[in-house]
Amino acid sequence: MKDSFNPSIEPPKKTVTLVSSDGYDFEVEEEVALESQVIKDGFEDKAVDDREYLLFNVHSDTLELIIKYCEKHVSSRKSISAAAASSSSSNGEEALKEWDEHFISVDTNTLYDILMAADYLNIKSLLDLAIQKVADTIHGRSPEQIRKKFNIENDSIIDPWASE
Amino acid sequence: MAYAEILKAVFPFLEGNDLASCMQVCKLWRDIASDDYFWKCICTKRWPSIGKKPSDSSMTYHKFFLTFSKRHKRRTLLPPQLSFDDLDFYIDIWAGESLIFSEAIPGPILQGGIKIHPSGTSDILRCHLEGPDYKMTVLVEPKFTLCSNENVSVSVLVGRKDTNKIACIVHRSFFSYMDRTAYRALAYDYLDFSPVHPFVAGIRAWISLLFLDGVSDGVKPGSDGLINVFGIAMDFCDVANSEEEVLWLLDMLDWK
Repeated sequence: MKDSFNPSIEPPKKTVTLVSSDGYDFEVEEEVALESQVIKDGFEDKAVDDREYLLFNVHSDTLELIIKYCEKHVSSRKSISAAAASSSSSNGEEALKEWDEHFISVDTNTLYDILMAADYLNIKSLLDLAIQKVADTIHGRSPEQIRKKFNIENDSIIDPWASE
Repeated sequence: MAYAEILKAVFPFLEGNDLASCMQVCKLWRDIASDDYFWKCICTKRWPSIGKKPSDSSMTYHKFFLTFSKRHKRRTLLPPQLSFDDLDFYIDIWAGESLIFSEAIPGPILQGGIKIHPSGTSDILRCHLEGPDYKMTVLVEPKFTLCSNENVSVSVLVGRKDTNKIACIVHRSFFSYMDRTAYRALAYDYLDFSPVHPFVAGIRAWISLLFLDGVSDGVKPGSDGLINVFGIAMDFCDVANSEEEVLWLLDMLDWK
């Protein structure tokens, strides 16, 4: 299923192939791949038949999510600007925010993977979203709850702040 | 991005209390969160003008936040200099113009309180007396009887043996609030404090007369307007809710 992530659409759009660390190919539309600043930089210099990127740091499970995010943002941007052009009212921005909120509501390990991938691929909006999510996860939790949530071992033998 | 880099990216989005929690998670988190840069962000968000203060190496923003972010509601009091052993309470009660109760009560008696409630103490009153609010109580021997329409007044002085001085707790206040359902009559007066505490005011001493349910002496309350008083309670529930706090408060009175 992963090999045929994006079944080709005719007329053939320009596509880019992303290869995950565990060796799966993801064929995505060019504009989706260009959400990544790293891919965008120097993209034009690459030959059209050489548009394949090996993402050594991104597992296929994570890459699938990242692509989902980028596709959503590309299509939302289009519909928002279309709505603006026809000056019809649109709640596109709101809807996208809601979608983001839902998208990033994942377990801590997945959140970590998304964060690392967003950093590696330099997708600023996704990185910001993930960082804010980590901050929200910490918010209002006790040190013990934070440890549990992020699976951290308490290596402080004495706790000089305990009395604060 | 390394693990530490993630924390550095996340911490600026946290509020002070959350960052304080992060400092207790583990060594790595504490090392990163102790960077005063994060605390400066938090402090200048909360008190924007503090960023204009010239930097001072003796103060970190972390310490500044810990000191000023919370109201310290409960301070630990040092042991009071006064003790109940040093005190005597002089209590006089009048019904109209006739004196009906007059006793000098040693501090330890009021401190000890009523240990065994006499038979006929209502459950409501028992609950109140055994409640968590600090109060000093004493049994009235012999019990006296009041007419519910009488004007009853009280005066309370306190003497201390260490300096041999006297202070006033209640001048002469009327039991203007007679609550038959709570089995209590209440009088209060504002405390006079020593001139060394010029800004302390509005703190009351509360005196309660404690009623029996009535049946034990064959007198039904309400049937003839007669009330059996078996005890007196005093508290400073506006401000002092422990023995130490009461002693500190008494020490602040205008002793003469």
